[in-house]
Amino acid sequence: MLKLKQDHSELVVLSVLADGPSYGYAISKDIAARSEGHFKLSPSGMYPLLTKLEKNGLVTTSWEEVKAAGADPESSGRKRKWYTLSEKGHKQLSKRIEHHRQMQSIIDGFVAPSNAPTREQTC
Amino acid sequence: MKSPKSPSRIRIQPSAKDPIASWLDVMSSMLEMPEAQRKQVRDELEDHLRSRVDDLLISGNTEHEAIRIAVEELGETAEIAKHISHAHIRPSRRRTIMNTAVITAALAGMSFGWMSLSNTMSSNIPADSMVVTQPATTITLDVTQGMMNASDPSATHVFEYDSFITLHVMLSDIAQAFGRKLELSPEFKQHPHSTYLSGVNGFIEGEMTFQQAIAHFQSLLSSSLMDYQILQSDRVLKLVSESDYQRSIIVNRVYPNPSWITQPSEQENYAGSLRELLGVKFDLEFTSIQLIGDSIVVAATPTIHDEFVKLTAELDEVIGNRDAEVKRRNDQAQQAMEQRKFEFEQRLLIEQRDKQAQRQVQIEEIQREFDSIREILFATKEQLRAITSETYAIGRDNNDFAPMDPEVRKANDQKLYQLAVEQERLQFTHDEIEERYYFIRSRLLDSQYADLFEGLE
Repeated sequence: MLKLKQDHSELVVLSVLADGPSYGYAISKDIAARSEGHFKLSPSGMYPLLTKLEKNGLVTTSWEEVKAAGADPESSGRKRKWYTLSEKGHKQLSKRIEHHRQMQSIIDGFVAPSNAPTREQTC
Repeated sequence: MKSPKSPSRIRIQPSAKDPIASWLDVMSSMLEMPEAQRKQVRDELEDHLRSRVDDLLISGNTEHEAIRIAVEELGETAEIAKHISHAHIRPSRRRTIMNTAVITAALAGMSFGWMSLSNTMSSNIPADSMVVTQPATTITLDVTQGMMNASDPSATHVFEYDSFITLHVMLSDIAQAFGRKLELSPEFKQHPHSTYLSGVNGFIEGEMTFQQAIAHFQSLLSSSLMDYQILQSDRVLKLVSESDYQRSIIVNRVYPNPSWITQPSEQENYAGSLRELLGVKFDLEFTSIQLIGDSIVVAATPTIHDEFVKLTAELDEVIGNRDAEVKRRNDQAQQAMEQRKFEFEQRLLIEQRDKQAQRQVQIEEIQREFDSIREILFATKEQLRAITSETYAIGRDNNDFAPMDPEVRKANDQKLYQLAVEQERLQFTHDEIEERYYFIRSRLLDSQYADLFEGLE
Protein backbone atom coordinates (compact mmCIF):
# COMPACT_ATOMS: atom_id res chain seq x y z
CA MET A 1 0.00 0.00 0.00
CA LEU A 2 1.45 3.37 -1.02
CA LYS A 3 0.68 6.49 0.90
CA LEU A 4 -0.21 9.37 -1.36
CA LYS A 5 1.98 12.44 -1.08
CA GLN A 6 0.30 15.78 -0.80
CA ASP A 7 1.39 16.88 -4.25
CA HIS A 8 -0.14 13.80 -5.84
CA SER A 9 -3.19 13.58 -3.62
CA GLU A 10 -4.63 16.81 -4.99
CA LEU A 11 -4.34 15.50 -8.54
CA VAL A 12 -5.91 12.19 -7.55
CA VAL A 13 -8.82 13.75 -5.65
CA LEU A 14 -9.54 16.22 -8.43
CA SER A 15 -9.47 13.34 -10.91
CA VAL A 16 -11.93 11.33 -8.84
CA LEU A 17 -14.25 14.32 -8.61
CA ALA A 18 -13.95 14.85 -12.36
CA ASP A 19 -16.09 11.72 -12.71
CA GLY A 20 -18.87 13.31 -10.72
CA PRO A 21 -19.80 14.58 -7.27
CA SER A 22 -18.72 12.48 -4.35
CA TYR A 23 -18.28 12.59 -0.58
CA GLY A 24 -15.33 11.92 1.73
CA TYR A 25 -15.68 8.23 2.43
CA ALA A 26 -16.69 7.46 -1.18
CA ILE A 27 -13.68 9.38 -2.46
CA SER A 28 -11.32 7.37 -0.27
CA LYS A 29 -12.95 4.13 -1.41
CA ASP A 30 -12.78 5.22 -5.01
CA ILE A 31 -9.06 5.97 -4.75
CA ALA A 32 -8.39 2.57 -3.20
CA ALA A 33 -10.51 0.81 -5.83
CA ARG A 34 -9.10 2.65 -8.85
CA SER A 35 -5.53 2.10 -7.68
CA GLU A 36 -6.39 -1.54 -6.98
CA GLY A 37 -5.52 -0.98 -3.37
CA HIS A 38 -2.12 0.55 -4.05
CA PHE A 39 -3.02 4.06 -2.93
CA LYS A 40 -4.48 5.10 0.34
CA LEU A 41 -5.44 8.62 1.26
CA SER A 42 -5.84 8.78 5.01
CA PRO A 43 -8.73 10.78 6.50
CA SER A 44 -6.24 13.07 8.25
CA GLY A 45 -4.86 13.94 4.81
CA MET A 46 -8.03 13.85 2.76
CA TYR A 47 -10.36 16.08 4.80
CA PRO A 48 -7.86 18.94 5.16
CA LEU A 49 -7.23 18.65 1.42
CA LEU A 50 -10.94 18.78 0.63
CA THR A 51 -11.24 21.82 2.89
CA LYS A 52 -8.41 23.50 1.06
CA LEU A 53 -9.94 22.71 -2.34
CA GLU A 54 -13.18 24.20 -1.13
CA LYS A 55 -11.48 27.31 0.23
CA ASN A 56 -9.62 27.76 -3.05
CA GLY A 57 -12.84 27.45 -5.00
CA LEU A 58 -11.79 24.29 -6.82
CA VAL A 59 -14.80 22.41 -5.51
CA THR A 60 -18.28 23.37 -4.41
CA THR A 61 -20.06 21.61 -1.56
CA SER A 62 -23.55 20.68 -0.57
CA TRP A 63 -25.14 18.74 2.28
CA GLU A 64 -27.50 15.80 2.13
CA GLU A 65 -29.31 14.04 4.92
CA VAL A 66 -28.72 10.30 4.92
CA LYS A 67 -30.78 7.77 6.81
CA ALA A 68 -29.72 4.28 7.58
CA ALA A 69 -31.72 1.48 6.06
CA GLY A 70 -34.64 0.60 8.33
CA ALA A 71 -34.34 3.80 10.32
CA ASP A 72 -37.35 5.62 11.65
CA PRO A 73 -38.58 7.86 8.79
CA GLU A 74 -39.44 10.52 11.38
CA SER A 75 -35.97 10.56 12.92
CA SER A 76 -33.25 12.80 11.56
CA GLY A 77 -30.42 11.08 9.63
CA ARG A 78 -26.78 11.94 9.49
CA LYS A 79 -25.44 14.65 7.25
CA ARG A 80 -23.24 13.96 4.24
CA LYS A 81 -21.09 16.56 2.58
CA TRP A 82 -20.87 16.31 -1.19
CA TYR A 83 -18.07 17.74 -3.26
CA THR A 84 -18.45 18.81 -6.86
CA LEU A 85 -15.62 19.94 -9.12
CA SER A 86 -16.02 23.63 -10.02
CA GLU A 87 -15.04 25.26 -13.28
CA LYS A 88 -11.88 26.49 -11.62
CA GLY A 89 -11.30 22.99 -10.38
CA HIS A 90 -11.55 21.59 -13.90
CA LYS A 91 -8.99 24.13 -15.11
CA GLN A 92 -6.71 23.34 -12.21
CA LEU A 93 -7.04 19.63 -12.95
CA SER A 94 -6.15 20.18 -16.61
CA LYS A 95 -3.13 22.16 -15.54
CA ARG A 96 -2.09 19.52 -13.07
CA ILE A 97 -2.54 16.75 -15.62
CA GLU A 98 -0.45 18.66 -18.13
CA HIS A 99 2.23 19.25 -15.55
CA HIS A 100 2.12 15.61 -14.52
CA ARG A 101 2.53 14.45 -18.11
CA GLN A 102 5.42 16.79 -18.65
CA MET A 103 7.11 15.49 -15.55
CA GLN A 104 6.36 11.91 -16.53
CA SER A 105 7.81 12.50 -19.98
CA ILE A 106 10.94 14.00 -18.48
CA ILE A 107 11.29 11.17 -16.00
CA ASP A 108 10.70 8.61 -18.76
CA GLY A 109 13.67 10.10 -20.53
CA PHE A 110 15.81 8.89 -17.67
CA VAL A 111 14.18 5.54 -17.14
CA ALA A 112 14.72 2.69 -19.59
CA PRO A 113 11.50 1.04 -20.84
CA SER A 114 10.74 -2.18 -19.01
CA ASN A 115 11.06 -4.29 -22.20
CA ALA A 116 14.35 -2.68 -23.19
CA PRO A 117 17.33 -5.01 -23.06
CA THR A 118 19.38 -4.69 -19.96
CA ARG A 119 23.09 -3.95 -20.07
CA GLU A 120 23.85 -7.57 -19.25
CA GLN A 121 21.72 -8.77 -22.13
CA THR A 122 23.43 -6.50 -24.64
CA CYS A 123 26.86 -7.48 -23.58
CA MET B 1 4.81 24.53 14.14
CA LYS B 2 5.55 21.77 16.55
CA SER B 3 3.90 22.10 19.92
CA PRO B 4 6.19 22.16 22.93
CA LYS B 5 4.48 19.03 24.15
CA SER B 6 3.14 16.30 21.94
CA PRO B 7 -0.56 15.86 22.30
CA SER B 8 -1.46 12.93 24.43
CA ARG B 9 -3.15 10.01 22.77
CA ILE B 10 -6.87 10.20 23.34
CA ARG B 11 -8.97 7.12 23.06
CA ILE B 12 -12.67 6.61 23.24
CA GLN B 13 -13.67 5.82 26.76
CA PRO B 14 -16.30 3.12 27.13
CA SER B 15 -19.58 4.67 28.06
CA ALA B 16 -23.25 4.08 27.71
CA LYS B 17 -23.22 6.60 24.88
CA ASP B 18 -22.74 5.56 21.27
CA PRO B 19 -18.94 5.04 20.97
CA ILE B 20 -18.82 6.90 17.64
CA ALA B 21 -20.59 9.86 19.19
CA SER B 22 -18.17 9.76 22.13
CA TRP B 23 -15.17 9.78 19.81
CA LEU B 24 -16.66 12.62 17.78
CA ASP B 25 -17.21 14.59 21.02
CA VAL B 26 -13.56 14.22 21.94
CA MET B 27 -12.32 15.01 18.46
CA SER B 28 -14.52 18.04 17.95
CA SER B 29 -13.46 19.43 21.33
CA MET B 30 -9.95 19.55 19.93
CA LEU B 31 -10.85 21.47 16.80
CA GLU B 32 -9.65 25.05 16.77
CA MET B 33 -12.36 26.77 14.78
CA PRO B 34 -15.69 28.50 15.18
CA GLU B 35 -18.58 26.41 16.48
CA ALA B 36 -20.42 26.35 13.15
CA GLN B 37 -17.42 24.92 11.32
CA ARG B 38 -16.76 22.50 14.14
CA LYS B 39 -20.28 21.13 13.76
CA GLN B 40 -19.78 20.65 10.02
CA VAL B 41 -16.50 18.83 10.51
CA ARG B 42 -18.12 16.62 13.11
CA ASP B 43 -21.02 15.82 10.76
CA GLU B 44 -18.67 14.99 7.92
CA LEU B 45 -16.51 12.69 10.01
CA GLU B 46 -19.58 11.05 11.50
CA ASP B 47 -20.78 10.24 8.01
CA HIS B 48 -17.33 8.85 7.21
CA LEU B 49 -17.23 6.68 10.33
CA ARG B 50 -20.77 5.35 10.03
CA SER B 51 -20.36 4.65 6.31
CA ARG B 52 -17.19 2.73 7.09
CA VAL B 53 -18.87 0.86 9.93
CA ASP B 54 -21.73 -0.10 7.61
CA ASP B 55 -19.23 -1.53 5.10
CA LEU B 56 -17.39 -3.43 7.82
CA LEU B 57 -20.63 -4.86 9.15
CA ILE B 58 -21.50 -6.06 5.64
CA SER B 59 -18.03 -7.65 5.50
CA GLY B 60 -18.98 -9.75 8.50
CA ASN B 61 -17.44 -7.85 11.40
CA THR B 62 -19.26 -7.44 14.67
CA GLU B 63 -20.46 -3.95 15.51
CA HIS B 64 -17.83 -3.61 18.20
CA GLU B 65 -15.06 -4.66 15.82
CA ALA B 66 -16.41 -2.49 13.02
CA ILE B 67 -16.41 0.64 15.21
CA ARG B 68 -12.96 -0.14 16.54
CA ILE B 69 -11.53 -0.63 13.04
CA ALA B 70 -13.23 2.47 11.64
CA VAL B 71 -11.96 4.70 14.44
CA GLU B 72 -8.47 3.26 14.27
CA GLU B 73 -8.31 3.92 10.53
CA LEU B 74 -8.93 7.58 11.20
CA GLY B 75 -5.65 7.70 13.08
CA GLU B 76 -4.70 9.63 16.17
CA THR B 77 -7.61 11.76 17.32
CA ALA B 78 -5.43 14.74 18.16
CA GLU B 79 -3.58 14.40 14.88
CA ILE B 80 -6.65 14.49 12.68
CA ALA B 81 -8.10 17.35 14.74
CA LYS B 82 -4.88 19.30 14.28
CA HIS B 83 -4.73 18.77 10.52
CA ILE B 84 -8.34 19.69 10.00
CA SER B 85 -7.96 22.76 12.25
CA HIS B 86 -4.98 23.92 10.24
CA ALA B 87 -6.86 23.50 7.00
CA HIS B 88 -9.65 25.71 8.29
CA ILE B 89 -7.51 28.32 9.99
CA ARG B 90 -4.93 28.55 7.26
CA PRO B 91 -6.63 30.76 4.69
CA SER B 92 -7.10 33.78 6.92
CA ARG B 93 -3.76 33.34 8.66
CA ARG B 94 -2.13 32.62 5.36
CA ARG B 95 -3.38 35.87 3.97
CA THR B 96 -1.75 37.62 6.88
CA ILE B 97 1.50 35.85 6.15
CA MET B 98 1.08 36.54 2.48
CA ASN B 99 0.57 40.21 3.14
CA THR B 100 3.71 40.19 5.21
CA ALA B 101 5.54 38.45 2.40
CA VAL B 102 4.32 41.01 -0.11
CA ILE B 103 5.32 43.86 2.17
CA THR B 104 8.68 42.23 2.77
CA ALA B 105 9.22 41.81 -0.95
CA ALA B 106 8.23 45.40 -1.55
CA LEU B 107 10.49 46.62 1.22
CA ALA B 108 13.27 44.51 -0.17
CA GLY B 109 12.71 46.14 -3.54
CA MET B 110 12.82 49.60 -2.06
CA SER B 111 15.28 49.28 0.74
CA PHE B 112 17.74 46.86 -0.71
CA GLY B 113 17.14 47.27 -4.39
CA TRP B 114 16.71 43.55 -4.61
CA MET B 115 14.76 42.32 -7.60
CA SER B 116 12.26 45.09 -7.93
CA LEU B 117 8.95 44.29 -9.61
CA SER B 118 10.03 45.99 -12.82
CA ASN B 119 13.28 44.04 -12.90
CA THR B 120 11.48 40.80 -12.39
CA MET B 121 8.91 41.55 -15.02
CA SER B 122 11.58 42.52 -17.50
CA SER B 123 13.26 39.18 -17.00
CA ASN B 124 12.09 36.03 -18.67
CA ILE B 125 10.49 34.71 -15.54
CA PRO B 126 6.83 33.89 -15.93
CA ALA B 127 4.67 36.19 -13.87
CA ASP B 128 2.83 33.34 -12.24
CA SER B 129 6.02 32.18 -10.58
CA MET B 130 6.15 35.32 -8.49
CA VAL B 131 5.20 35.06 -4.93
CA VAL B 132 3.09 38.21 -5.00
CA THR B 133 0.79 36.85 -7.66
CA GLN B 134 0.67 33.19 -6.83
CA PRO B 135 -1.14 32.53 -3.58
CA ALA B 136 -1.47 28.87 -4.42
CA THR B 137 2.28 28.44 -4.25
CA THR B 138 2.64 30.06 -0.87
CA ILE B 139 4.24 28.21 1.95
CA THR B 140 1.83 27.30 4.67
CA LEU B 141 3.00 28.78 7.91
CA ASP B 142 1.55 27.49 11.08
CA VAL B 143 1.43 30.70 13.03
CA THR B 144 -0.90 29.46 15.70
CA GLN B 145 2.03 28.80 17.99
CA GLY B 146 3.44 32.29 17.55
CA MET B 147 6.73 33.30 16.00
CA MET B 148 9.62 30.90 16.34
CA ASN B 149 12.34 31.70 18.80
CA ALA B 150 15.30 32.32 16.52
CA SER B 151 17.84 31.36 19.16
CA ASP B 152 16.45 27.87 19.71
CA PRO B 153 18.30 25.54 17.30
CA SER B 154 16.02 22.59 18.12
CA ALA B 155 12.85 24.49 17.14
CA THR B 156 11.18 22.99 14.11
CA HIS B 157 8.71 24.11 11.52
CA VAL B 158 6.43 22.02 9.36
CA PHE B 159 6.72 23.08 5.75
CA GLU B 160 3.73 22.21 3.63
CA TYR B 161 3.41 23.16 0.01
CA ASP B 162 0.65 22.74 -2.45
CA SER B 163 3.16 22.74 -5.28
CA PHE B 164 6.61 23.98 -6.20
CA ILE B 165 7.53 27.51 -5.14
CA THR B 166 10.30 29.83 -6.17
CA LEU B 167 13.57 29.64 -4.28
CA HIS B 168 13.13 33.24 -3.22
CA VAL B 169 9.79 32.49 -1.62
CA MET B 170 11.29 29.45 0.00
CA LEU B 171 14.18 31.40 1.53
CA SER B 172 11.89 34.24 2.63
CA ASP B 173 9.54 31.82 4.29
CA ILE B 174 12.35 29.90 5.97
CA ALA B 175 13.59 33.20 7.38
CA GLN B 176 10.12 34.24 8.47
CA ALA B 177 9.24 30.84 9.91
CA PHE B 178 12.28 31.00 12.15
CA GLY B 179 11.90 34.63 13.19
CA ARG B 180 14.50 36.15 10.90
CA LYS B 181 14.55 38.71 8.13
CA LEU B 182 15.92 38.06 4.65
CA GLU B 183 18.56 40.45 3.39
CA LEU B 184 20.56 40.38 0.18
CA SER B 185 23.98 41.89 -0.14
CA PRO B 186 24.56 44.74 -2.61
CA GLU B 187 26.95 42.45 -4.51
CA PHE B 188 24.25 39.90 -4.96
CA LYS B 189 21.85 42.48 -6.34
CA GLN B 190 24.39 43.30 -9.05
CA HIS B 191 24.91 39.66 -9.91
CA PRO B 192 23.71 38.79 -13.43
CA HIS B 193 21.98 35.75 -11.99
CA SER B 194 20.30 37.62 -9.16
CA THR B 195 16.91 36.85 -10.67
CA TYR B 196 17.71 33.18 -10.46
CA LEU B 197 16.01 32.84 -7.11
CA SER B 198 12.70 34.03 -8.50
CA GLY B 199 12.97 32.09 -11.72
CA VAL B 200 13.59 28.63 -10.36
CA ASN B 201 11.14 26.58 -8.40
CA GLY B 202 11.86 24.14 -5.65
CA PHE B 203 10.03 22.00 -3.18
CA ILE B 204 10.33 21.76 0.56
CA GLU B 205 8.23 19.54 2.73
CA GLY B 206 8.13 18.20 6.22
CA GLU B 207 9.23 19.15 9.68
CA MET B 208 12.67 20.74 9.80
CA THR B 209 14.92 22.68 12.10
CA PHE B 210 16.31 25.97 10.88
CA GLN B 211 19.64 24.44 9.91
CA GLN B 212 17.95 21.57 8.09
CA ALA B 213 15.79 24.00 6.14
CA ILE B 214 18.82 26.12 5.19
CA ALA B 215 20.75 23.01 4.15
CA HIS B 216 17.82 21.94 2.01
CA PHE B 217 17.66 25.36 0.39
CA GLN B 218 21.38 25.38 -0.35
CA SER B 219 21.10 21.98 -1.96
CA LEU B 220 18.69 23.51 -4.44
CA LEU B 221 20.96 26.37 -5.51
CA SER B 222 22.38 25.87 -8.95
CA SER B 223 26.04 26.06 -9.74
CA SER B 224 25.53 29.60 -11.02
CA LEU B 225 24.90 30.74 -7.47
CA MET B 226 27.25 28.39 -5.73
CA ASP B 227 29.64 31.27 -5.11
CA TYR B 228 27.00 32.79 -2.84
CA GLN B 229 26.52 31.81 0.74
CA ILE B 230 23.89 32.27 3.38
CA LEU B 231 24.97 34.19 6.46
CA GLN B 232 22.90 33.38 9.49
CA SER B 233 22.28 35.26 12.68
CA ASP B 234 19.52 35.25 15.24
CA ARG B 235 17.86 38.11 13.42
CA VAL B 236 18.84 38.00 9.78
CA LEU B 237 19.42 35.63 6.91
CA LYS B 238 21.72 37.27 4.41
CA LEU B 239 22.65 36.03 0.95
CA VAL B 240 26.17 37.30 0.33
CA SER B 241 29.03 36.70 -2.06
CA GLU B 242 31.58 34.07 -1.22
CA SER B 243 34.22 36.73 -0.48
CA ASP B 244 31.92 38.62 1.90
CA TYR B 245 30.96 35.36 3.48
CA GLN B 246 34.56 34.30 3.97
CA ARG B 247 35.44 37.68 5.51
CA SER B 248 32.48 37.53 7.84
CA ILE B 249 33.39 34.16 9.28
CA ILE B 250 37.12 34.85 9.77
CA VAL B 251 38.26 34.13 13.30
CA ASN B 252 41.56 35.15 14.92
CA ARG B 253 43.27 32.54 17.01
CA VAL B 254 46.66 32.46 18.74
CA TYR B 255 48.58 29.20 18.65
CA PRO B 256 51.70 28.56 20.75
CA ASN B 257 54.86 27.48 19.00
CA PRO B 258 55.57 23.78 19.28
CA SER B 259 58.01 22.91 22.03
CA TRP B 260 60.45 21.45 19.50
CA ILE B 261 61.00 24.85 17.90
CA THR B 262 63.87 26.69 19.58
CA GLN B 263 65.27 29.00 16.93
CA PRO B 264 63.53 32.00 15.31
CA SER B 265 64.55 30.70 11.90
CA GLU B 266 62.83 27.40 12.66
CA GLN B 267 59.70 29.30 13.63
CA GLU B 268 59.70 31.19 10.34
CA ASN B 269 60.21 27.99 8.39
CA TYR B 270 57.45 26.33 10.36
CA ALA B 271 54.94 29.12 9.68
CA GLY B 272 55.98 29.28 6.03
CA SER B 273 55.57 25.55 5.58
CA LEU B 274 52.15 25.61 7.20
CA ARG B 275 51.02 28.41 4.90
CA GLU B 276 52.29 26.50 1.89
CA LEU B 277 50.59 23.28 2.95
CA LEU B 278 47.28 25.01 3.68
CA GLY B 279 47.52 26.80 0.36
CA VAL B 280 47.47 23.49 -1.46
CA LYS B 281 44.01 22.78 -0.13
CA PHE B 282 42.48 26.22 0.48
CA ASP B 283 42.36 29.61 -1.12
CA LEU B 284 44.24 31.68 1.43
CA GLU B 285 43.18 35.03 0.04
CA PHE B 286 41.50 35.88 3.32
CA THR B 287 43.93 34.07 5.57
CA SER B 288 46.79 35.60 7.51
CA ILE B 289 49.49 33.67 9.39
CA GLN B 290 51.76 35.93 11.46
CA LEU B 291 54.58 35.24 13.90
CA ILE B 292 54.26 37.31 17.04
CA GLY B 293 56.69 36.51 19.84
CA ASP B 294 56.54 32.84 20.59
CA SER B 295 53.10 32.50 19.03
CA ILE B 296 51.53 32.09 15.63
CA VAL B 297 48.47 34.26 15.07
CA VAL B 298 46.12 32.94 12.43
CA ALA B 299 43.20 34.86 10.98
CA ALA B 300 41.16 32.41 8.95
CA THR B 301 37.81 30.75 8.51
CA PRO B 302 36.85 28.02 10.98
CA THR B 303 37.43 25.41 8.28
CA ILE B 304 41.01 26.57 7.76
CA HIS B 305 41.52 26.75 11.53
CA ASP B 306 40.35 23.17 11.79
CA GLU B 307 42.81 22.11 9.10
CA PHE B 308 45.57 24.18 10.75
CA VAL B 309 44.99 22.48 14.09
CA LYS B 310 44.89 19.07 12.44
CA LEU B 311 48.07 19.74 10.49
CA THR B 312 50.02 21.11 13.46
CA ALA B 313 48.86 18.24 15.64
CA GLU B 314 50.08 15.75 13.05
CA LEU B 315 53.36 17.60 12.67
CA ASP B 316 53.85 17.71 16.42
CA GLU B 317 53.12 14.04 16.62
CA VAL B 318 55.52 13.12 13.80
CA ILE B 319 58.27 15.39 15.07
CA GLY B 320 57.58 14.36 18.64
CA ASN B 321 57.89 10.74 17.55
CA ARG B 322 61.10 11.57 15.74
CA ASP B 323 62.53 13.19 18.88
CA ALA B 324 61.41 10.24 20.90
CA GLU B 325 63.14 7.93 18.42
CA VAL B 326 66.34 9.95 18.62
CA LYS B 327 66.19 9.86 22.41
CA ARG B 328 65.50 6.15 22.32
CA ARG B 329 68.53 5.57 20.10
CA ASN B 330 70.71 7.80 22.29
CA ASP B 331 69.55 5.92 25.35
CA GLN B 332 70.30 2.65 23.61
CA ALA B 333 73.78 3.85 22.66
CA GLN B 334 74.41 5.06 26.19
CA GLN B 335 73.26 1.76 27.60
CA ALA B 336 75.45 -0.15 25.14
CA MET B 337 78.42 2.00 26.05
CA GLU B 338 77.85 1.47 29.75
CA GLN B 339 77.48 -2.22 29.15
CA ARG B 340 80.75 -2.33 27.24
CA LYS B 341 82.44 -0.38 30.01
CA PHE B 342 81.06 -2.74 32.61
CA GLU B 343 82.16 -5.77 30.65
CA PHE B 344 85.62 -4.25 30.16
CA GLU B 345 85.91 -3.56 33.86
CA GLN B 346 84.78 -7.04 34.68
CA ARG B 347 87.26 -8.49 32.23
CA LEU B 348 89.98 -6.30 33.69
CA LEU B 349 89.06 -7.41 37.15
CA ILE B 350 89.20 -11.04 36.16
CA GLU B 351 92.48 -10.50 34.39
CA GLN B 352 93.84 -8.78 37.44
CA ARG B 353 92.58 -11.57 39.63
CA ASP B 354 94.16 -14.16 37.35
CA LYS B 355 97.32 -12.18 37.17
CA GLN B 356 97.34 -11.87 40.92
CA ALA B 357 96.83 -15.60 41.28
CA GLN B 358 99.59 -16.34 38.78
CA ARG B 359 101.83 -13.91 40.53
CA GLN B 360 101.05 -15.55 43.82
CA VAL B 361 101.97 -18.91 42.34
CA GLN B 362 105.18 -17.44 40.97
CA ILE B 363 105.92 -15.83 44.33
CA GLU B 364 105.33 -19.09 46.08
CA GLU B 365 107.64 -20.89 43.60
CA ILE B 366 110.32 -18.24 43.99
CA GLN B 367 109.85 -18.34 47.72
CA ARG B 368 110.33 -22.11 47.70
CA GLU B 369 113.40 -21.76 45.49
CA PHE B 370 114.68 -18.98 47.71
CA ASP B 371 114.22 -21.08 50.83
CA SER B 372 115.97 -23.93 49.12
CA ILE B 373 118.91 -21.89 47.91
CA ARG B 374 119.27 -20.26 51.28
CA GLU B 375 119.55 -23.69 52.91
CA ILE B 376 122.12 -24.70 50.37
CA LEU B 377 123.99 -21.46 50.93
CA PHE B 378 124.01 -21.96 54.68
CA ALA B 379 125.19 -25.53 54.22
CA THR B 380 127.98 -24.43 51.89
CA LYS B 381 129.02 -21.73 54.30
CA GLU B 382 129.05 -24.33 57.06
CA GLN B 383 131.24 -26.58 54.98
CA LEU B 384 133.58 -23.72 54.25
CA ARG B 385 133.73 -22.84 57.89
CA ALA B 386 134.54 -26.50 58.72
CA ILE B 387 137.33 -26.62 56.14
CA THR B 388 138.70 -23.32 57.36
CA SER B 389 138.62 -24.56 60.93
CA GLU B 390 140.27 -27.82 60.02
CA THR B 391 142.90 -26.02 57.94
CA TYR B 392 143.53 -23.70 60.84
CA ALA B 393 143.96 -26.61 63.26
CA ILE B 394 146.36 -28.51 61.01
CA GLY B 395 148.31 -25.39 60.19
CA ARG B 396 148.67 -24.60 63.91
CA ASP B 397 149.99 -28.08 64.56
CA ASN B 398 152.50 -27.72 61.72
CA ASN B 399 153.74 -24.35 62.92
CA ASP B 400 154.09 -25.54 66.53
CA PHE B 401 157.71 -25.63 67.53
CA ALA B 402 157.31 -28.97 69.16
CA PRO B 403 159.03 -31.90 67.38
CA MET B 404 156.74 -33.59 64.86
CA ASP B 405 157.02 -36.84 63.17
CA PRO B 406 157.97 -36.11 59.53
CA GLU B 407 155.42 -38.61 58.41
CA VAL B 408 152.78 -36.80 60.31
CA ARG B 409 153.96 -33.50 59.00
CA LYS B 410 153.88 -34.81 55.50
CA ALA B 411 150.40 -36.19 56.04
CA ASN B 412 149.36 -32.85 57.50
CA ASP B 413 150.73 -31.00 54.50
CA GLN B 414 148.95 -33.35 52.20
CA LYS B 415 145.78 -32.85 54.19
CA LEU B 416 146.25 -29.10 54.04
CA TYR B 417 146.61 -29.29 50.31
CA GLN B 418 143.47 -31.36 49.98
CA LEU B 419 141.65 -28.94 52.26
CA ALA B 420 142.83 -26.00 50.20
CA VAL B 421 141.60 -27.65 47.00
CA GLU B 422 138.29 -28.49 48.68
CA GLN B 423 137.96 -24.98 50.05
CA GLU B 424 138.59 -23.48 46.64
CA ARG B 425 135.93 -25.72 45.08
CA LEU B 426 133.49 -24.98 47.87
CA GLN B 427 134.20 -21.30 47.70
CA PHE B 428 133.45 -21.37 44.00
CA THR B 429 130.23 -23.25 44.66
CA HIS B 430 129.40 -20.90 47.49
CA ASP B 431 129.87 -17.87 45.31
CA GLU B 432 127.61 -19.31 42.67
CA ILE B 433 124.99 -20.21 45.22
CA GLU B 434 125.25 -16.84 46.84
CA GLU B 435 124.85 -15.14 43.52
CA ARG B 436 121.85 -17.29 42.88
CA TYR B 437 120.55 -16.47 46.31
CA TYR B 438 120.70 -12.73 45.76
CA PHE B 439 119.17 -13.10 42.38
CA ILE B 440 116.23 -15.07 43.71
CA ARG B 441 115.88 -12.75 46.64
CA SER B 442 115.70 -9.88 44.22
CA ARG B 443 113.03 -11.71 42.18
CA LEU B 444 111.09 -12.43 45.29
CA LEU B 445 111.12 -8.79 46.31
CA ASP B 446 110.16 -7.75 42.79
CA SER B 447 107.23 -10.16 42.80
CA GLN B 448 106.01 -9.26 46.25
CA TYR B 449 106.07 -5.56 45.54
CA ALA B 450 104.98 -5.84 41.93
CA ASP B 451 101.47 -4.44 42.66
CA LEU B 452 103.02 -1.48 44.41
CA PHE B 453 105.40 -0.89 41.53
CA GLU B 454 102.58 -1.11 38.99
CA GLY B 455 100.54 1.38 40.99
CA LEU B 456 103.50 3.77 41.07
CA GLU B 457 103.97 3.42 37.36
